[in-house]
Amino acid sequence: MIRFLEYFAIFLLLLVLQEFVFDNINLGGVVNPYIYIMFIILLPLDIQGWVLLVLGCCAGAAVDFMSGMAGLHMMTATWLAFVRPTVVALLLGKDVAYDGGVPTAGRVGVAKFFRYVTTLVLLFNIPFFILEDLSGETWVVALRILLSSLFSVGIIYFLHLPFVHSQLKV
Amino acid sequence: MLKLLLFLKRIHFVLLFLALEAVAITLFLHGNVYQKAKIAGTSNRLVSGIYDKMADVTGYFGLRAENDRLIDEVARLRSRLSAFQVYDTLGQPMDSVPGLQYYQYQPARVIRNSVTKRQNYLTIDRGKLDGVEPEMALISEDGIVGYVVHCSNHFSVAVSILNTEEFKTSGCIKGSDFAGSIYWDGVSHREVVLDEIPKYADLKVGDTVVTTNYSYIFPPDQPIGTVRSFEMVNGTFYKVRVALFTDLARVKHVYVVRYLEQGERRALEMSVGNAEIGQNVPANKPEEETVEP
Repeated sequence: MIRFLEYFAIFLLLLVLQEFVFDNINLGGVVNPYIYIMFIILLPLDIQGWVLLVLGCCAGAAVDFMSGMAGLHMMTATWLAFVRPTVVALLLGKDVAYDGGVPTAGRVGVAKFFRYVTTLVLLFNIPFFILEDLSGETWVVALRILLSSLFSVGIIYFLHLPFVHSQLKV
Repeated sequence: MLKLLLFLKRIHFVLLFLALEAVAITLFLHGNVYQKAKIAGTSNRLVSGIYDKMADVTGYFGLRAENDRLIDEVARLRSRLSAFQVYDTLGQPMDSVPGLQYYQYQPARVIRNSVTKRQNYLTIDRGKLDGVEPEMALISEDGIVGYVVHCSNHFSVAVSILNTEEFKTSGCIKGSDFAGSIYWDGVSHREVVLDEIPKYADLKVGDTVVTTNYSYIFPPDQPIGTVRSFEMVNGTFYKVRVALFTDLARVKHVYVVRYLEQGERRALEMSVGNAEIGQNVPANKPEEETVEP
């Protein structure tokens, strides 16, 4: 229950950061980092599949509601929750997944953590930016995916550091 | 039966995923401009207050630049005003003849704005109680910004000119009759496209692009931008890239413009089935009023 409340607080914090900080970042109109997906990325590794899907869907729906997007975040965040178990098994290994806990750089190793986050960020950003701009020019969409992903991975790494420290203390 | 249940249990993850995606896709496909603005308007009540307070604080940082802009605008308006001051033979200013007023302006502050998305909206701190209604134009001192689509009592949401789906209006090269449609293709937040300019038009890089009087929403001759480049399409018309005068990323103060004869003009043009004239009126307008009761 305490863990649930902790995650809920983290989610609210990410939602506020997304809305009031990251949605206002403007670097040439192409960098648009979606940091709230960190919530889905950092959910415990041993979480049940259906809980993961429902939480992913709710996170997307909440951001849709905040930004007036009508279904786009809900669609891609649910997709991200759907592919996460496969990515965990492939990149972090089934043993790590079985052990559970929060997937941080401290637990799985920095190199593996970056690979894991980059893969999930790309799996979210590629469908998101394509669907957001179906008639857009290919190179613009590609540039937005690339730069936004780069920023997202960097920001997610720094934002997750408190988790690493709290684990070390325990 | 047991086998079926076991099978369902095995694939429940995929089934749940498909069900949730189906809901999301339905929302995505059926969310038109009014629903999106409505969502933005609803979440407004939650976040607009916070944005309002944030704008109070961040507003201080731009005061110097804001003052410079205001002084520039006062100078520009004074020079325009002087053109209307008529003197009689004794050198006394005559009463100006009250002419017809077509547009009413009121100032508003932008408290929420985005330029990085494909469907960008602005929120302003004026709402129904201030007399703001959907389909009123937003212009800054530099040029057009967008138009209002949804109002609550104290706030309004407007479609930004940087909106690939919902923003469309007409524009022409200043001083010529060649008009085309203005829209954003999402490439840069400092550029829009002026499409379908007839091939006979004499275009030059640097020409000024302004609004036309075809619109139900924007006053005519409002500046939009300058011609940055142009190309011939199919040998029939020009596609022009227009560098916007207004930097949408920095816009803080706007004017909400009411076209006093909007209703009468639309009713007349609709009565002869000429609905295309007002290009920037969304075609999928629902029957009921979009303003909340």
